[in-house]
Amino acid sequence: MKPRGRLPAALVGAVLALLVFGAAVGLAADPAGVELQASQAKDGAWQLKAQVVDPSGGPVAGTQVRFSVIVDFLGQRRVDLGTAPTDVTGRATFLYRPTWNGAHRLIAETGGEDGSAAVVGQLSVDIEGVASPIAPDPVALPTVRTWAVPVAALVVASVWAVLGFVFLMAVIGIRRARSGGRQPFGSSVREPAPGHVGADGLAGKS
Amino acid sequence: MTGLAATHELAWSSDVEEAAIRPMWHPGRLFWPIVAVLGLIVLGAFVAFGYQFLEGLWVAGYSDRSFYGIYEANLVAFIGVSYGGALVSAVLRLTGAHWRAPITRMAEVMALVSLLVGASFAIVHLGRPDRILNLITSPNPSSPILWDFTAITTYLLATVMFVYLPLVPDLARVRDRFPAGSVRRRIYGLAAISWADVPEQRRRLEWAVGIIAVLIIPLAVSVHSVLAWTFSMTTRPGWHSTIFGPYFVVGALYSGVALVVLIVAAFRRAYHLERFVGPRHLLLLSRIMAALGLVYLYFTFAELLTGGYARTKDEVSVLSALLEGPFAPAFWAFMVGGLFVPIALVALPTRRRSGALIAAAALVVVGMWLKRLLIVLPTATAPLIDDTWGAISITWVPALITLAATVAIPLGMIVLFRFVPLLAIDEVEQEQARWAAQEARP
Amino acid sequence: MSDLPATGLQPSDVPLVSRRLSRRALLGSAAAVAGSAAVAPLFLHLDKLIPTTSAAAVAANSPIRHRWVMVFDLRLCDGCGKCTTACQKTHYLEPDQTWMKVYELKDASGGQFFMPRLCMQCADPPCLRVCPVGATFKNRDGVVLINQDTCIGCRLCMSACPYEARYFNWSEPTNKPLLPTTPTPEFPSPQRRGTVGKCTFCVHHTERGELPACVTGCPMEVIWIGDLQADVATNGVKTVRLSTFLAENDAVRYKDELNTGPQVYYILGHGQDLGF
Repeated sequence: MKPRGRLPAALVGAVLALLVFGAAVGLAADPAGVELQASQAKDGAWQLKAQVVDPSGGPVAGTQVRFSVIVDFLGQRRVDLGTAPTDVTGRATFLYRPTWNGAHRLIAETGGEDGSAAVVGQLSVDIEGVASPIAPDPVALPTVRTWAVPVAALVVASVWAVLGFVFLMAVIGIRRARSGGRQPFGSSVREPAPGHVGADGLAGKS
Repeated sequence: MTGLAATHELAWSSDVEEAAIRPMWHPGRLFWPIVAVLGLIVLGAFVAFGYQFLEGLWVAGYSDRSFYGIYEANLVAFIGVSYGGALVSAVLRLTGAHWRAPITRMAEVMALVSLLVGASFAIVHLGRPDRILNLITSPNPSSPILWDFTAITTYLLATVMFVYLPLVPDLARVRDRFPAGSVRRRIYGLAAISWADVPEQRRRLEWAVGIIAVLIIPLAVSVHSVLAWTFSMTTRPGWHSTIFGPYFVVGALYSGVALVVLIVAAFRRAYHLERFVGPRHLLLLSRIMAALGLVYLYFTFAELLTGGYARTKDEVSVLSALLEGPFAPAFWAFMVGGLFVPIALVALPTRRRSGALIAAAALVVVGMWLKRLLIVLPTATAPLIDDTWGAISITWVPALITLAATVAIPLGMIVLFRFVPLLAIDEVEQEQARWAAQEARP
Repeated sequence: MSDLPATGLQPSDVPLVSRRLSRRALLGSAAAVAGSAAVAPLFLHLDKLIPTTSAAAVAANSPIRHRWVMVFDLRLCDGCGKCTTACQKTHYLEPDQTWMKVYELKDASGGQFFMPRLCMQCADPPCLRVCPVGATFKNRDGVVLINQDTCIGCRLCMSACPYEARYFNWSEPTNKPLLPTTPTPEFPSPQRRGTVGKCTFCVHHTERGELPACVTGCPMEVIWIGDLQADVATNGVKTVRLSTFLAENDAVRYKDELNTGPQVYYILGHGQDLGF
């Protein structure tokens, strides 16, 4: 049937035109809004999901979304985290591994290349329990540090004590022995007077 | 006649006593002129120090790439020469070297004076010497300078005791020369602690002096080791060497014994001690000095070999500056004049022995001072990052202060010997008796 | 030998005399022991006199707010020296005092490059260890500071620093702030004659949320100030995640093998990226 042969071609043409037109419409759709969500993933990472919509609320596919975080570091500054493209549903995902604790002001931004205004979506997330990626330098020889000083101080103090003690004992002993009749230091036997016999049986010298 | 004149009427109990005590009141014609000249130099040094304190250390020739220099070398050198006294009075005492008897007093007093002079450089080299008490109020126990402070004060205490205690019997002799009730008798009486030359007192004194003689040796080793570690515990090439502790101690002993030779030779002539101090003393001291010099030569060689063989970049830069570069003339002058020639002069039989020995000792004292400069300056001016060396500048301020420190040692000694006898009278008398007994033996 | 005079004392008197003499000896030694015992507890706590140098120890005593680091991108440095000028201006330094100094060096292939060097604010600073009066100390953000009212000018810290980062006031400073200021370790201006000074990572700026002088003064965006605690670094123009910045650019530390733990990183290069 001749009219039937022409209908499939026209149908294909119409569908093709519709698809192309529809795709063109879809591609030409400007992102009008970004909605940012974050959820915790494994190993302390966070899954960031940015949903890009056009003015009518439909998804915007194939646009690059730039993820960044605002830090308050000697002024308000922005750290770029990375980029991810939106899929057919207009959603871009990015795995964020935070390396510091506290409130994170996350930004997902798209558009703005061709002079038009960029579209920004924000989200504030409190992140805790993150370990600093760079460990502090280890302390060398920690055990030596704690006991070395008290030991040295003790040695010095005892040297001074010995010097003082020796000097004091010398001066005191010399003064005390000035008449010559005193007990010798450390000895328990006293020299007997000349002519006498002492306790140990030795005679005193004359 | 009373007072001093009366004392001169008293007979001397021995020629030793006369030789030791007489110079206290009859020091000779040259005493006052010498004291005046040397004292003027020392006074000039105080003025220079005051100027430096008010102006800042730049007047001493320092700069950021030349942060250590002549003062730090002097600190090591002048404390170092005091070790000769410690060796003669303590080590030789413990080894029973009786020949040291006539020189032991001079050696001890020299040790005390040079230690005080050397320690004063620790204050002179500071940027803020007015804050020195911060060492006591806010000490940092891990600092080598605090260890220096501790070691030097402890060693000074021991040295003062070691000078004073053997002096007590001699001070008693001086006391006894004054009339009863006079001020001087009371002062010397106080200093002599009621010394009555009683065996019990003698025992007590021997006990104390013996203990301090034993203690003073590790104390002396600790002082110069800690001074050495102040340099070697940094990572600077030329300083960061494990041998520094023993190196400095041996260097101190070497230069110290040399200074003892010079002092003994000079005082022997100046105070007419020829009867008690003979060429034998100079020879024995010189042999000790030469032996120490050989050890120092060995250590120096070990230092140079270790650095030179491995040839790491930073070690080589300092080593080549020392051996071939700007410091080479001074370095080789030291090696020849401060090591080889003096050792040869002592070892080889030479004519006019005493003259050769005195020349050797003088070369050692000067050479070792130069060596301390050669330890400090190359590393202090060596660059750590690029290859720009620091500039060395010697101005009149450190030159005058160094000269004053050199003359302060004999000045301090001759002033002190107006107040204390210059021989250890009992020890010399004992040594004389020992000699006489030996001579009498068939 | 004995010339003891006849005193009339009998052997039975011996214990009395020896008791008195040994009592004195006992008192003397007791005094020494008591003295040492009284002072001994002080020695047990002497380890607290050791200034804490490790970041871990500092954290144990107070919460760390920052761990300051600096990064130098040597690919961009052209040796203009404006960082030095900016530093000297903010701190009122003498012309010789180059707390920030730019060295002109040769690399292994003979090419020339410029390396700015300031105080490395080491984690285990040799300068802090050797200071006899504790004038050099570390604040809780890891910055090594100098109290010029305590410093006695011994220059042992200058000797110990492997980076030649310390500068001495060899004379009375002539360059002073217009208004009279009381110098503090955080801002030691005017400096004291006879004491030592060095880079402070501009804590007087960072405390107020401002960038260090050299960071703002560098026209080539070479100098980055970073915080290991917040894992961020900025050069005033761009801000990056510090850990990735260092890792991606193979940043190294100078004389790392000396184990001082320097807090300054270098991204190696030889000034090849000029202009942008």
